Amino acid sequence: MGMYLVKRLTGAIVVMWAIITITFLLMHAIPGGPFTEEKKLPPQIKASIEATYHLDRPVWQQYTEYMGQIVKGDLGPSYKYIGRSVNDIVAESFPVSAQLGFGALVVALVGGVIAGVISALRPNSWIDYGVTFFSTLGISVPTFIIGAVLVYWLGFVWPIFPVALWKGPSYMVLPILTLAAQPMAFIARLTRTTMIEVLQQEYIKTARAKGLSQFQIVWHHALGNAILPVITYIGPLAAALFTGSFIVETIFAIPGLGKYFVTSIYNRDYTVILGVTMFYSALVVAFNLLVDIVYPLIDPRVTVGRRRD
Amino acid sequence: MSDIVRVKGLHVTFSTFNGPVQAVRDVSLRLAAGEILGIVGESGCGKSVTVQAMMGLWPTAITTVEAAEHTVLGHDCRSFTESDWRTLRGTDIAMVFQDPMTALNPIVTIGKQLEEVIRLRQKRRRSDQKGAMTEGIAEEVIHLLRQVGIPEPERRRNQYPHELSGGMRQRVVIAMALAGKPKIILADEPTTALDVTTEAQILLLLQKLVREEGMGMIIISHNLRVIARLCDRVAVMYAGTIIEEGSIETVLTSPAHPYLQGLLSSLPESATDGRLTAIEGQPPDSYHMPTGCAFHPRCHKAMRICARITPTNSNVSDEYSKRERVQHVREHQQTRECPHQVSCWLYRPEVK
Repeated sequence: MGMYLVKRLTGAIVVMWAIITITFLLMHAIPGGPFTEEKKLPPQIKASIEATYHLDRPVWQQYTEYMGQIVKGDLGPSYKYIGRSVNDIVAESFPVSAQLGFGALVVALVGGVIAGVISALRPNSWIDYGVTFFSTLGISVPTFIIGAVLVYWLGFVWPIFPVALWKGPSYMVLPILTLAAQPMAFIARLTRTTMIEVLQQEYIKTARAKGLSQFQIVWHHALGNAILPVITYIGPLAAALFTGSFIVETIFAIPGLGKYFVTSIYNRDYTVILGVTMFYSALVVAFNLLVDIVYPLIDPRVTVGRRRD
Repeated sequence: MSDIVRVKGLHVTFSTFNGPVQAVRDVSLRLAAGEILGIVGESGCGKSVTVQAMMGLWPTAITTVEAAEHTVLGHDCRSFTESDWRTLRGTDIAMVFQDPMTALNPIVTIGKQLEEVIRLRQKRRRSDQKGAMTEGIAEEVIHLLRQVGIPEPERRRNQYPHELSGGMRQRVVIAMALAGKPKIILADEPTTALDVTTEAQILLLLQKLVREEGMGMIIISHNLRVIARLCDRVAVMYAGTIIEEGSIETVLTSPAHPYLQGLLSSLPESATDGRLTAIEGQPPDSYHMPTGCAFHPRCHKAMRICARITPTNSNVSDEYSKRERVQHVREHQQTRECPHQVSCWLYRPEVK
């Protein structure tokens, strides 16, 4: 286990380095820079700003300087938001995105698994068709439409929930539902498919022949097996949800990290692009590692580091 | 002798994409306490379907199970729902499944899978007779595992199915059926996955339990040696029906049905000139059953009537036995009230 962790962490560092380097090169390959504006700055002023941020130096030199910085944990200053460092921006906005993401993850998992199990237990019943209908809808309708519909019905027609900002629990309902819709629909379909498959297995017949109740069969014998593919999916899903969705944050005016990620690219805010990309990648790597460590606790056939059977 | 299982005219039909398939046609069986009934037949002849239908395991959505009579321990099971069946399963009627690789839940330890049955039994027995609750589930799990010959049961019970060999898993499956202390065991090829030595041990164990506890057992096998060693009576199935039935001695020493005659003469022991004989042809396709007797296309004694009308059960007459000069163990037949019956036109005097 210890050896396995060391190996995985070393791998993670290599992955992170590759991501930073590629992002750095791509970023500099985009024409323009942070201080290229519609309204041309006087050349001397532009030159002196660029000199302040060492942007006048060759790319390889900027790269080594930047790498030296981030090893110390400093993501550098933002070029656009004067006086704020990238560390500040992440520290300020990530907690908001994380709350939103965690809420959406819980809703998507609980709702999706329950809906999937119910429809698998009564295949081709009206409830199964209902779940299938809504999950198809959830997967195919874009987030911004789901968000807009929720805002319209639950914000204006029946003004139950606030439709913008992030000030307390009631503010979280609509954004969390909007963000959870797609993964919940996906999880419902995944659970339904695997559950139906699992219910046809011989060991379920054995469980029935033992005289176990329907609840025991579903809860003790079927669910654990049916949920395995869902667990594999949680890793990337959690990272995606935690880092926030630009769309949801924009619709509901939530001061999360997703907004910075997208605007930083328009702004050529090099340090923010790099810093946020790196932060996202670290989360993806961490969640995948977490899932790989948790997986063997649920499926004993898989031991950490290698798959059997 | 009172029967603990009685089935008359059982039909099992599956609805499939290609239309209905009659897997079991007009099967009648009975089982007495302390008796072992063998069902033999080739793969796909409906043995497993029959016994699974006997404990209501077929989902009603895709299966039609019909019977003129279906009683288990005095309960009329014809109109049983899933929850009615549940009250009998495990503690009254239990099943040993065929494939130990798939019959155990891969993510639950074998100890836990056994415990479930023990708990269920304790719960049910407690409501039946107050104060009869026995504690010590862990001890009982260990005892059961030891009983079926699993070494180091204390360690094994915490293991998962994938950590056990096929033979070990098969024993766990058997232990699971025994855990409920049922009155009826339906064993679907319980020893197919085992080597010959283990097979003998398990068969002896099952036999001992049936005799001592007064259980009844139906055992499915395509291994005639297993059947010969273990059973009191045997039913031979072909294409979804029972074609011959009787005491083990009678049926195996003086087979009446041409199919069983062919089957027995294809055993290596019966090879006379160093070559094995075989039954020509293939078992019929369940979508296109032959008319009349299902065996007639492969039967070298087939008559015209065989292709037109399905023969019904009839006793093999003494006259035939004498004429064919076969040895009957007639005294045995009489004491066990177990007539030698066959579904074949050859034994119907009216056809002659």
